[in-house]
Amino acid sequence: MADRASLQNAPARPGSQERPFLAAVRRFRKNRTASMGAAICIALALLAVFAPLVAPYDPVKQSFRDQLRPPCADHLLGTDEFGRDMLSRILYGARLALLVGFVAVSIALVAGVALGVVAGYFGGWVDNVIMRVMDVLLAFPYILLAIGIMAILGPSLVNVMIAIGIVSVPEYARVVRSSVLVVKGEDFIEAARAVGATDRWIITKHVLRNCLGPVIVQATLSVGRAIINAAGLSFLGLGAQPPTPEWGSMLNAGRPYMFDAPWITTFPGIAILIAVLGFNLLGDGLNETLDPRLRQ
Amino acid sequence: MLAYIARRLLMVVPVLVGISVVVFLMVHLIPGDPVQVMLGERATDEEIARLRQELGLNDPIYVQYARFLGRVAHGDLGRSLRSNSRVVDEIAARFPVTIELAVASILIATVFGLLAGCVAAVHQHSLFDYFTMVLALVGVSMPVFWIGLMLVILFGRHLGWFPIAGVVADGIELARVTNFPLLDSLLSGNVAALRSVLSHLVLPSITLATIPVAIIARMTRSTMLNVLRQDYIRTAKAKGLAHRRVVYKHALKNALVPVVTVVGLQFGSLLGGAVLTETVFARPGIGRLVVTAIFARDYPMVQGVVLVGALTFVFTNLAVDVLYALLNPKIRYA
Repeated sequence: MADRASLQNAPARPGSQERPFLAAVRRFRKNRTASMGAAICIALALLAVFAPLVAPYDPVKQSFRDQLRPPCADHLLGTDEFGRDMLSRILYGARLALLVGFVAVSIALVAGVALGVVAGYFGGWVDNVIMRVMDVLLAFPYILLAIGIMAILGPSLVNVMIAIGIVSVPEYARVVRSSVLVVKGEDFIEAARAVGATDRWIITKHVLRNCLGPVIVQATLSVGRAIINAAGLSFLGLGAQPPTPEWGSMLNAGRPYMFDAPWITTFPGIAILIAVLGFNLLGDGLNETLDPRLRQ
Repeated sequence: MLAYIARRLLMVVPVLVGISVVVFLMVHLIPGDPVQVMLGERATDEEIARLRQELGLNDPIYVQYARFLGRVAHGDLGRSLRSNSRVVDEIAARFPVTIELAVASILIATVFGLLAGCVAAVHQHSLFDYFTMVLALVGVSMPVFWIGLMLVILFGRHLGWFPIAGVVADGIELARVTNFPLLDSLLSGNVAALRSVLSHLVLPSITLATIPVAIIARMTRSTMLNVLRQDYIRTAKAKGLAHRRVVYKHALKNALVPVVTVVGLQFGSLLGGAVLTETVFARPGIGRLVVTAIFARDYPMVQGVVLVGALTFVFTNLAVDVLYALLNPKIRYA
């Protein structure tokens, strides 16, 4: 790879011999924030995928003999009011947290990127209409809008994903639109158009590829926020319903027992914290490695 | 300057129209028959027809929207489907509780965030800097409601320092003048009530301040670092000014400009975060109101709270922008 690159732009300048992607990977691996975030996220994903193998107990099986047991050798994180093993419930909860995070972000990503590209690329009244609608969505406080949408759709975990997805659309639309506006003015777009490329081809081959960086950063950071807000909505009783092992609803269910059995309300919160911290670290790290302005 | 403010005010108009459309449509977007949903399974056809007539849902949609706008403009947000009291009255009674909480939180967040960010920037790469930044990173990743629960267990139960629920202790009568608990107890000169209200405010406001304090600390640190590298700081130092004076008079003053924006934006989103905090601490604010309303399928109430929340958010953002322009000459003269 290095050979071809150095042949193409010989005499090679130091540092220019790597392809941009490999250079980004190298910077990423050297970045401590990013590596730590990636490690947490990978560990979380592995635990979620292999939850049935790792979890010592069935997360929904009740055992009235084992109600409200403090952390001990049999139940490392104790048991809840129905005698269910907290560790197993938290491990299964990681599946839901990641699912909610990814589905919500995917909804926001697909809709936001599409709207942002159309607005930025075509400009004019299309741009105006799309961005004014986004302004209106941004005029609502994040949680309040999500709650309003939940009021329309009714309480359920699927609706939480939809609500959080919709609320996050404007951020993507804005990020994508602004990078499209930058890319649109570049010479290579002009060149592509001169050789007869269609709008569709230019958008998929040039425009989308060039706004990938900011979108990846935005997506990583918003997975963390989606997890925290989904847990919040479930905590209010609007999301996952018992006996689903979801972190937010576990916290809610543990509230009546929080003085006698504080482990029920302590551990799911720590799980949320670790998961969100992982995605925030990863997002910050990616931002530092992908954004040329922050690169030292 | 006036032109800038006028332009900024004009920009709010389409947003306000958009907000009114979204809030108006909330009822119409309910899947199925909204009236059936509001009244529940056991409603008779007669009841359904009556409520539909009452809500004016038989008219064409643009007539309904025009009527909605007219009503809202007169401060009429309809009546609660549960208590039949006026939505405006309920919100007016409870909003001050939320505002008081948000103000207390933003004060705590600003004081500690500025202080920590400043000291961290001045002593960059020190242990304090490192510690603050790790804490700030953890702070933005914490679920607010969980912090609340942990504070309740630790300070409410084990140490017994602060009360854990409500606005004022049982048995203490609060005078109702402004509906702001703190203000009312001050105005009535009731010392016992004042102490009770203050102690009830401590844990919720710390809870709600966690995320803004982390954001403000990070923001202050990075802008301070940026400002401290500027030439005029070197000049000030070269003139022989005291270090303290350079940092707090020359640097901090300029670093404050972007921080003001962050503080303002955080204040707006605190109104949203208050929903969770009020639930944890059983405070009768509008956050608690909207959650109960959702479970009661009390749509006029939900619409009212969402509308008031959005309006507050828009106007705080507007105030922040104007303040920013006042502070930043680059915008003022543009």
